[in-house]
Amino acid sequence: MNNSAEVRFVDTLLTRKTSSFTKNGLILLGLTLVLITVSLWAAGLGAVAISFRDVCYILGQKLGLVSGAVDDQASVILTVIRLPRVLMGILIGAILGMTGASIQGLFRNPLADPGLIGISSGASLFAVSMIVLELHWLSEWQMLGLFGMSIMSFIGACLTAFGVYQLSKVDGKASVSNMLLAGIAINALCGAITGLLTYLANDAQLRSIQFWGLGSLGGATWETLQVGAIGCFLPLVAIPRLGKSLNAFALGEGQAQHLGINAKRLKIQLILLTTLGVGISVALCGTIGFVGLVIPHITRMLVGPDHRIVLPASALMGAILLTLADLISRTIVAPAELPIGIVTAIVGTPSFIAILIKNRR
Amino acid sequence: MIEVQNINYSINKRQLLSQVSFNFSSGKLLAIMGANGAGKSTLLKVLSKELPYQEGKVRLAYRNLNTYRSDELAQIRAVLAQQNTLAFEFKVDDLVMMGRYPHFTSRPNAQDRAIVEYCLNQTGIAHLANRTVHTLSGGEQQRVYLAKVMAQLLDYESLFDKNYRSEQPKYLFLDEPVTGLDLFHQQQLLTTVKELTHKGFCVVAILHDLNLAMQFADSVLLLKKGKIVDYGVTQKVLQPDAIHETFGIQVKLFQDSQLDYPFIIPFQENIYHKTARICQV
Repeated sequence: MNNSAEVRFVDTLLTRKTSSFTKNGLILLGLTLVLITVSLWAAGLGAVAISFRDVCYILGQKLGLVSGAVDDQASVILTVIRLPRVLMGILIGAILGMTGASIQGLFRNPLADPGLIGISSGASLFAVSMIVLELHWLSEWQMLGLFGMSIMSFIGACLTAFGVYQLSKVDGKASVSNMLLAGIAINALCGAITGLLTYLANDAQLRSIQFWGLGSLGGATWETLQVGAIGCFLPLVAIPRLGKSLNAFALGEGQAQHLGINAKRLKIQLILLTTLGVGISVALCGTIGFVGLVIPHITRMLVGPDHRIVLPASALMGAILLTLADLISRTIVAPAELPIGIVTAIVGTPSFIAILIKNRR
Repeated sequence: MIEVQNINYSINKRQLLSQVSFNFSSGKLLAIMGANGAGKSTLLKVLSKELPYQEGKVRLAYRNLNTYRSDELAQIRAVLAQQNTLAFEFKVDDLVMMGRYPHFTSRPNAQDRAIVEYCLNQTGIAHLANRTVHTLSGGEQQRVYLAKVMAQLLDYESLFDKNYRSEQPKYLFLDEPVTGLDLFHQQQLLTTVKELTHKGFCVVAILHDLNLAMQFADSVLLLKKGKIVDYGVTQKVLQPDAIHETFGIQVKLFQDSQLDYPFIIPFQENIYHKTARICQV
C-alpha cells in the first residue's frame, strides 16, 4: 500500500470509529438528561404536589441562582423530605445497577447478581441480628451512632463475600463456578439464621426486619445520604475503570491473562468494590432486589456488551429506575408506603421473563 | 528464540512433562505432535506461562520466562486457545480489537484500528466485522480468534512494509488451530500463520495432521508420555520409525514429483487384529 492509500485507509477507520464513540457519549448524555428530568419531576410529586416549575425555582433559589419569594411550606417539604430521598434513590439505583453489571461481567454470566455471592444476605443477616439481639452498644457510641447499622451490614457483607471467595478456591485460584455454588450455600445458611432470628423477634422488631427484607428509601435524610455518598464514591469511580479488563474477562480467565490482565487482582478488586457498594446500600435501604439483575440486561440491549459503556450506563439506568420505583412506592398507596422491593420485583419480574423469552427465540 | 531446558511438570504425582529440552529460533513454525494425553497442551501452557513449570528453565528472547510481567508478555506473546467461550454478545471487530488491549490504556488509536482492519482482511472476515460472534459458524469463529491473536502481535509498520522486522521477536502459540476447519480453511489458516513467520514471528502449533505438518512446519517435535521422541527439521523427523514410536501406527511416505515434500499414508492390515494380538500376549 502506498502512502496516500494508507492515509485514506486510516481516515475511513477514524471517521467510522469516532462516530461509535460519539454515539456512546450521546447515550450517556441522553441518560443523564432523562435522569435529571425524572428526578426533578419525582421530587415534585407526593402528598403535597409541587409543580415542576416550582421545584426548579426553589432549587435555583437555594443554589443562589435566582432570587425572589418562594412558598415556604413547599420549600421545606422539598429540601428536607423529598430531595434527600430522591438523591438517595439516584445513589442506590446507580450503585445497584453498576455493581450488578460488574458482577455479571466477573461471573461471565448475564444472570448473575450481587445477591448471588452472598453479599446481600450477609448484610441483611447482620442488620437483622442487630435489630433482634439489640446490640445498642454500637449506637451508643457517639461516632458510630448513625454509622452503626451501616458498618454492621457492611461487615456482614464482607464476611460472607470473603467466605464465599475462600470456599471457591481450587489450588489457590478462585474458580468462578465454585463461587456460585459457595454463594448458594452461604445464602441458604444466612437465610436460615435470618429466619431463626425472625422467629425470635417481637412485633416491633418484626416490622424493622420487614424493612430489611423488602427495602425502602423512607429513611433517607441528609445525614444518611452523606454516609451513602461517602461509601458509594469509591465503587462508582473505580468500577468503570475496570471496563476494559472486564471485556477481556468475557473471553475467559485464561485468555484474559494472555492479554495481560491480572485475573486474580481483578477478581479481588471487583468483589471488594461490589461488597462496599452493596453493603452500604443494604445498610441504608435494605435489600432491593432485581435492580442489579435487570438493569444491566436492559442496558446491554441498549448500548451493546462493551463494559466501558455498560458500567456507567447501568449506573444511570439504575438511578432512573429506582427513582421511578420509589415514586410509585410512595404515591400509589399514599399516605402509606409500599416497600420499594415489592415495586422493583413487580416491575422487574415481567421484564426479566420477557428478556428470557426473547433470548430463547 | 525459545530455549527450553529440562522442563518437568507434574500434577497430583502424574508426570506430564519430563526432561523436555529444545531450542527453537524465530521466523519459523514448529509443530508439536503426539498422541492424545502426550503432554502437548501442557507444554504449550508452560511456554505461554499459563502453568508454572516446577523444574528446569524456559527462556524467551534470551530472558527467563518467569521474569516477564504478564502485561509485558502480552505485548509479545499471543495464544490461540483450543476452545473459545465468549460471554456476552460482542461484535467481531470489537473482539479482534481486544487483541490490541495490551497496547493501549483506555481508547485505541488510529494505528490500533488499522491493525484490526488489516487482520480482519488477512483472515477473510472483514465482511463479518459487524456481526455478533455468536451468530458465526465454528470455522468463522476460529478465524475471528486468529485475527485477534494476530492483532495482538502485529506492529503497525509491518502492515505496509513487507520487509519490516519488529525489534522484539513475537511469539504465537496455537493449540490445535485447524481442528474443526474444512480443507480450504485449514490451508488458509496455516498459510496466514506461515506468512507471520516471514515477518519474524516464532510460531508454535499443536497439529494432529501429519501431512499438514509436512506441508507447513519448519520443525517438528514429537512427544510421547511427556518425553521428546524426536525433534528437528520436519522431513527428517517425520519418518516411519519415529511416527510408529509416537503413535503406534505404521505409515508409508510417498513422493510426488510436483511437490517438494512427501505425503504420509497410514497402513495397517487391521488395527483391531493388532489390538487383539497385543491383548492375547
